[in-house]
Amino acid sequence: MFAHIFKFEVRRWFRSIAMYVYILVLFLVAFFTGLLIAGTWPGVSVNFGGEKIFANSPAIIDAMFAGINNYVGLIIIVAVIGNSVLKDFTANTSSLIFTTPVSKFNYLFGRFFASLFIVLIILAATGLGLMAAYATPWVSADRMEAFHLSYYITTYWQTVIPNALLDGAIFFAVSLIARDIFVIWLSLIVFFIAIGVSNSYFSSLEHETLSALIDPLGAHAKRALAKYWTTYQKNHFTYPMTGLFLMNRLLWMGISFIILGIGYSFFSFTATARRLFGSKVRLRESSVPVFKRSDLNMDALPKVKPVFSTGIYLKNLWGLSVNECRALLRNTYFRIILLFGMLLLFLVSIQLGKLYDTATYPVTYMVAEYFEGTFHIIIVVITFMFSGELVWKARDFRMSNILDALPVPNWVFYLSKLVGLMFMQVILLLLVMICGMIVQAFMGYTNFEPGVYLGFLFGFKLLDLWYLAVLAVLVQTLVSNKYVGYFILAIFYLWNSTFALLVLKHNLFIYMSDPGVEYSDMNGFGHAGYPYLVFKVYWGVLALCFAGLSSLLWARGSETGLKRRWRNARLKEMRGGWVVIVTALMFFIGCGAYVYYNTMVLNKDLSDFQQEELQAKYEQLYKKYQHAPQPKITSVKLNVDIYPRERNLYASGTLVLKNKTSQPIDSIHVLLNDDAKLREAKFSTGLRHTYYDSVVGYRIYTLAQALQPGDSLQFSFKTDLTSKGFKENFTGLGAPIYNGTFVNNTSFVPSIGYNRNIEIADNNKRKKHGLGYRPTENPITDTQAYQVNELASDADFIDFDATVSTVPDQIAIAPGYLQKEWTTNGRHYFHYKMDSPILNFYSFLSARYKVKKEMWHDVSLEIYYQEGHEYNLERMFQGMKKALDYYSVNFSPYQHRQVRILEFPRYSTFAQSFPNTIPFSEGIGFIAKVDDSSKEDINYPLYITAHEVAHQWWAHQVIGADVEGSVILVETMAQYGAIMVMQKDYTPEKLHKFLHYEMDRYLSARSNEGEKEKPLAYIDQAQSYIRYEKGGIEMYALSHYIGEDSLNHALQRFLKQYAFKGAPYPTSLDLIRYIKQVTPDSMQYFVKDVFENITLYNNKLSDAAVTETPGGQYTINFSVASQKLYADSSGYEKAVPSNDYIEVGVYNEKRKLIGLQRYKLPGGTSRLSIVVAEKPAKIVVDPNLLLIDKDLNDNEKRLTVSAPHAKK
Amino acid sequence: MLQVKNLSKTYPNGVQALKDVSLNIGNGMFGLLGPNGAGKSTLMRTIATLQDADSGSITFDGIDVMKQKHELRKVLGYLPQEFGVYPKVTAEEMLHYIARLKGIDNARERKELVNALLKQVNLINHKNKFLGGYSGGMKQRFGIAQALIGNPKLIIVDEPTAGLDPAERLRFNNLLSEIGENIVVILSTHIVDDVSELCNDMAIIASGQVVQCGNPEALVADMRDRIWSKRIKKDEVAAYQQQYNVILSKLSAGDVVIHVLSDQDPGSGFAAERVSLEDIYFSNIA
Repeated sequence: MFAHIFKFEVRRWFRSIAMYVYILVLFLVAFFTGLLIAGTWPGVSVNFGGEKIFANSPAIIDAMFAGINNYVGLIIIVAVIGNSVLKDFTANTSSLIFTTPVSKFNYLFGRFFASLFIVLIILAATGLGLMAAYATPWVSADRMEAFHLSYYITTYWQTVIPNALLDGAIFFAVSLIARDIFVIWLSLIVFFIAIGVSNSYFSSLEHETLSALIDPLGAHAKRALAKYWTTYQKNHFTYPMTGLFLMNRLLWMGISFIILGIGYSFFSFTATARRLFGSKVRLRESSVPVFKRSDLNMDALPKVKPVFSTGIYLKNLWGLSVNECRALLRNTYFRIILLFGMLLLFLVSIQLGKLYDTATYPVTYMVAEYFEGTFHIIIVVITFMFSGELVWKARDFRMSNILDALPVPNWVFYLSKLVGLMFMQVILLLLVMICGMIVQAFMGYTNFEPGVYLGFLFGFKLLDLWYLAVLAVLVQTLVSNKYVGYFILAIFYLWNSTFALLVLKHNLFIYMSDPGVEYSDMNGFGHAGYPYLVFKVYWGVLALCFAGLSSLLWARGSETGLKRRWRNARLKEMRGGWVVIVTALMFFIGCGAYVYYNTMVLNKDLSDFQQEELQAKYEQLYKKYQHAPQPKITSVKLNVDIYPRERNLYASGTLVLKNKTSQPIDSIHVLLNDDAKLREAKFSTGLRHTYYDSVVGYRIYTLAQALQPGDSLQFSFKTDLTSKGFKENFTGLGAPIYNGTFVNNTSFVPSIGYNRNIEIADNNKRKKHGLGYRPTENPITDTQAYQVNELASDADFIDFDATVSTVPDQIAIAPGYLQKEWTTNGRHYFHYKMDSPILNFYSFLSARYKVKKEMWHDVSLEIYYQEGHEYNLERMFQGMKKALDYYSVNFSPYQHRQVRILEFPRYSTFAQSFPNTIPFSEGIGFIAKVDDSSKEDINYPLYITAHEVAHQWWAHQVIGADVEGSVILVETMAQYGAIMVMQKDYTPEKLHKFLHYEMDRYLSARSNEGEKEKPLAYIDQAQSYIRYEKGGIEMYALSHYIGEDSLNHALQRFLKQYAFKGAPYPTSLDLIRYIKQVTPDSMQYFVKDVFENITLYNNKLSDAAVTETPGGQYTINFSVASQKLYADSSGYEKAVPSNDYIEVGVYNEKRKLIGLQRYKLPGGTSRLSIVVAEKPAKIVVDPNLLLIDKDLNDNEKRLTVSAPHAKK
Repeated sequence: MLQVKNLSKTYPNGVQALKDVSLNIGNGMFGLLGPNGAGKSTLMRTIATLQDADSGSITFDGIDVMKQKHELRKVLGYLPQEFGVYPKVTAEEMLHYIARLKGIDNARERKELVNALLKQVNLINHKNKFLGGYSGGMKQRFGIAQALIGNPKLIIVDEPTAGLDPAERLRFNNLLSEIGENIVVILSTHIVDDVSELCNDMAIIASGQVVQCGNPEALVADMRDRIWSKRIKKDEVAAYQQQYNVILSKLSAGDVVIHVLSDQDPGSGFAAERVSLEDIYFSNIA
C-alpha cells in the first residue's frame, strides 16, 4: 500500500508542470549565480572567501548548492511537501480517500516520502545549474579548476538531503496540524526568523560551538569546521563528516523524525480542512412547505436615488479601503505576524551595534536602521502574501460574482486593495518604531527622536515598500493563480535585490532603487534627501503606470483571460486609465533623463571596471615617468574655503618644491583627484609648455628654465572641489557636507610626480586589463624606493600653514596651532600653523562642534564633538593621557603641544591620525556603551584613542620607505602601543578576550587571503589582518618574551635614529635589527618566527591531574603536546622541529592566576608538573595568548583535586 | 426592452455555449428554461456584464451592454447562480456595503432601505448573524435582497432554486413572485415548475440555442391533444422508444410511465395526457 501511494504520487508529480517549473527555476538561479562567481562578466566580481578560491572549489560549490537550496529551494519544499496532504482537503478529495481502507501510516508516509523524493530531484537542479554554468565557455579560466563530481555529491548528501528532510518534516507536520495553507507559509516566515535570530544570537566567539550545533541547516557547523582553512584546503577538501558537523547532522536528523512523529500523531482522518481559529454556527429555519404570502413589496421599499459620480466613487473607495484595513487588523494571522515581529525585534536587539561584544548606546538612527533592516525582508514577504490574499479575496470567497456586477469602476476596487496593503505596511513600520522605542527605553535610553524614526521609516523606507505593493498587486492582477503570482514575485525580488545591480549596473534600471541614505547624528539625512526624492519620483511614476495597468486589467467577471481583459481595457469607458498611464510614462522618461543627466553627465559615475580601465591607461601611458626626477614639496601654504551648504570647497595655495636630486629638473608632473578641478597653476620659474591628458588627468609642466639641484620653486594653484547635481550612489565624505566635512589633502591639493599607488594593485584585475604581474608593493630590496616614504611620494617633511574658512556657526580645523580666528563677510576664518615639520598628509574638518579641553602636562587635549555624544569623552581623555604617559616615557617625547580628537559623520567608520589631529568617526566609539563593571565589555574608545595617539609616533615621527613590510612601522607599532596602554587599564581577562578576538580575526582573514600571506616583515599595506591583528599579538608576545623594557629600549633607539629624518627611510628590516639587538640569544628564534616566518602552533593540554601535597600545596601533573608549523604563502602548513618557550598558567576558582611557568618544550608530548600554593581550578597552556594557535579550546583543562593523601 | 441579437459564444476549450441566440424580453418575469449545460448561465453572465460574447449584441434601454458595461451595472440587480460570502460579515453589514457600492450614498436612506429589505425577505431576525452560517434558502433570500438594492431596472436571477429543499424553494419563489411587473426580470432555471409558477414569458434553451419561445400557457395550448401516456414495464422501454416518439419516461411505483408525442391517438393502451410545461420542455430538448 505504501509503495502504491508512493508510486501514484511520484507519477502524478512527473506529469505535473509545476515540477518542471521548479526545476527550471532552481537551475536558472544556480546557473546565473555560477556564471557570476566564475567571472563571466569582467566588470562584476563576486567573491566568496578570496579571489584565489576557485568558483568550482568544494567550498563555493557547497556554499552555493546548499545556500540556494536553503532559501529558494526551501520555498519549493514548502510548496511541494506542505501541500502534499493539504491538497486532499482543498481539492475535496479527502472524503474519497479517507473512506478507503488505507492506513494512516501508509497514507501519510507514502505521501511524505513521495514528495520528499520529488523535492530531492528538484533540488538537484541547483547542482546541475552550477555544473552547467561552469561548463560554459564564458567562465574565466583562472577561476576554475578541474571538474569534480564528488564535490557536488558530497554537498548533496551532507547538506541538501538532511536539510530537505528537516524542512520537509517541519512543514509536513505544520500542514498536518494546521491544515491551512496560510499557516504553512506563515510558519515559513517563522522558520526564517528563527534561523536569523539564532544566527545573530550566537554569532559571538564564545557561542561558536553552540551555534554550530543549533543551526538546523548546518552552515555554522561547517563554518566552525573550516574557519581557519587555508585557500589550498578550501580549494581541495570537502567538509569532513566529523566532530561538530557530524553531531549537527545527527541531531537534526533525529529532530526531523521527532517532528514527523508529532505531525503524525496530530493527524486523523477527519475530512474537513480545519481552520485554526473560529468555528461556524449554522442557522436553520423550520422547513414546512406551507405557502405564505411573501412580505416582499417592491412599492413599499423606501425610494432611493442612486448617485454615480467621481465623488461617490472616491467615497466608496474610502469606505472599501477602510473595510480592507479593518479586515486586516481583524485578521488573526496578521496579529500573529505582529506578535512574532515584536518578538524578533526584541530578540535581535541584544546584538544592537556591538563591537568586540560591547554595546553602543541605542541611538535612534541605529535602532531604526537595525530594526528596519532586520524586519525588511519580513515586511516584503508579508506584502507579497497579503497582495495575493487581497487581490484574490473576492474570488477565493466567490464574492466576485456579486461584486463584479456592481456599478463600481475598476479603479475603486483596485485602489481599495492597494490602500489596504499600504496600510498594512504602515502598521508594520509603526511596529518597528514602537518596538524601537520600547527597546531604547528598556536600555535606559530616553532620547527617542521620533522625528528620526518618522523620517527614516516613513520618509525613506515606506515609499519603497509602497512601490513594491503596487508591483505585487499588478502581478497578482495579471496571473491566473495566486501561487504563480507569489512565485513570480519571489523570483523578481531575488533578481532585483541581488543580481540586477551586478548585471544592469545602474540604479536607473533597478526597481525601487535609490542612491541610499545614511543618517548621522551630525549631518542628519544630509544631502541624501533630494536625490532620494528624485529617484522616488522616478519610480513613483512608474508605479503609477503599473497602477493604471492593474486597474485597466483588473480581473472582473467570469472570464479572466488576459486577452479578454485587454479587449475590455480598450473600451471607451476605460479611457481615463490610459491617460494616467501615458502621462505617468512621460514623467517617467523625463525623470529618467534628469537622473541620467545628474548621474552620468554632471557626475561621471564610473563603474569599477571603467575606473580600472582609466588606471590601466594611466599606467600604460605614464609609467615611464615613475623614476623621472621630480622635486619634493617642502612647504605648504593654503587658503581653504569650505561652503558646507553648497557642498563646495575652493582652495588656493603655494607649494614650495625643492630639487633634492642631483640632476636638473625641466618638467614637473602633476596629478589631481578626478573630482577636483584645477583652475590655475603658476610656477615661479615660468612655463615653456603645458601638457594635459584630460582623460587620465595627467599634467606635465615644462619649466621655462630647469630647476637646478638644491634649488626651489613656488607652485601656486587654485582648485575647486564642487558638488554638482547628485550621484548615483550616496557619497558621504570626500566633499564638503552640511555638517561634519572631512576632507584630506589628496582630494584637492595637487601631488607631484607619477604615483605608483594609482596603478591597479590587484593582480587578477591587472590581468583583465591587459597589464602584467606586478608585486603589490615594491620589494624590500628596492633601495631606490627608500628615497620615498610610504605615505606621500612627493614630500619628506614639510612646513605647514593653512587658513580655513567656513560658515559662522561651524568650526573649521586643520593640523597646526590656531594663530588667529576672525569673522569677515559672514565667513568664519581660522589660521593654523604648524611649528614643526610634518608629513605631507593633512586634513580639513568643519562642523558645529562642542569642544571639551583638558591638559596633560603642557599638552592641550581637545575633543571636538557633536552635542549629545558626551558618553565617552572621559574615556577618550583617559586614553589620550594614558597613551601620552606611556609613549612619551617608553618611546620618545611627544612632538606637539596639542592632541585633538574630531568627530566626523559615520559615513565611514574609522579613526585616522593626522599631525596633532585625530578625526574619529561618530560610528566607532562616541556612542559606545561600555559597562566598566562588566567582565565582558571592552573599553574600545580607549583602545582606539590609544592606537591613534600612537600614530603620532609611529607614522608622524618615523615613517617607513615605500616598500613591502613598512606598514608594520605604522600600524603594528601603533597596535603595540595601544595594547600596552590597554594592559595597564584592562583586567587580564579582558585583555585576553581582546587578544582572542584578534587571533580569531587573523586566522579567519588569512583563510580568505586573495594574494598570498606574507611574513610580518614583508606584508603588503592591504593586509590589514596581519598588520593589526597578527602584528599586535606578536609584538605583545615579544614584550613578554624579551621583556617590555628591552623591547621599548630598542624602539627608543630606533626612533632616535630615524624620527623626522626624511629620506632614506627605514624599512621593517631596520626595526627588526634594533629588536634583535636587545634579544637574548635564546629568544632570537622567536624574533625570526614572528617577523620572517608565518608561524603557527598547535598546542594542546592532553591531560592533567592534581594532587594535594602533605604541605598543603598542590602538585599538578600534566602533558603538553606541542607542534610548531610554518605556513607558506599559499597556506600550506608544514610541521617543523621546535624547542620553544611555552608558558603554562594555573588559575584558581576565581579565575585568578596563581602560577605561571615558562617551559622550553620540544615538539611532541612533554610530561610536566607544577606546584601551586592555592587550590587550582584550571590549567592553561599559553594563557597569555602569545602564540598563534588555531584551536584554543584544547589548550586548557579544568582541574579537580583528588582526595589528599591519607596522613598517617 | 432587453434585446439579445445573434449572440454566439465559444469557450477556449471548444465548447460552443451560445449559437446565434436572439431574444426580446419585455417587462415582467421571463423564464429561461434549459438543462444543465445548455448555455443559460453563459447568457445570463453575458447580460450581467461578467463576460463577453464572440459576436452579436445586447442592448437594454439604449445601453450597449458589451461596450457600456458600467452603464448597465448602474441599473442591474444580479443574483448569481452561486456566490460565497466573506467570513465574519453579517447580512446587514454586507447589504450596507453593497448599497453603498450601488451609489446609495445617503446613510439614512441606506439604513432604511437595508432594514426594509431585510424585513421583506424575512431575514430581519438574523441580520446580525454571520452570512457564513446561513442556510441555502436564507442565503438566496439575502441574494435577492442585495439584487433589489438601488431600483434596478434589470434583474437577473440565475438558477436560484437549485439545491434548495422544497420548503426553501417555495419560500423563495413566493418572494420572486412579488418582484414588480414594471421591470425586466430574467429567471434561469432547469426546474420546469419554477417557470410555470412564476413566468408570463419564457424561452427554452438547449445546446446553446433557443428552441422555443413564448407565453407558457400559449405553448401548452399549442400542444393540446398531442401528448399520450402509458404505464409500461421497465424492460419494455427500449421497444417503445423505437416505436414511438417518447419525450418523457418517468418511474412510477416500480413501473415506467412514458409520454409520447403524436398528433393522433397511438392506440395500444395509450391515454390522452393533460399537457404540462414539462412535456413542452422535454419535447424540445429530447
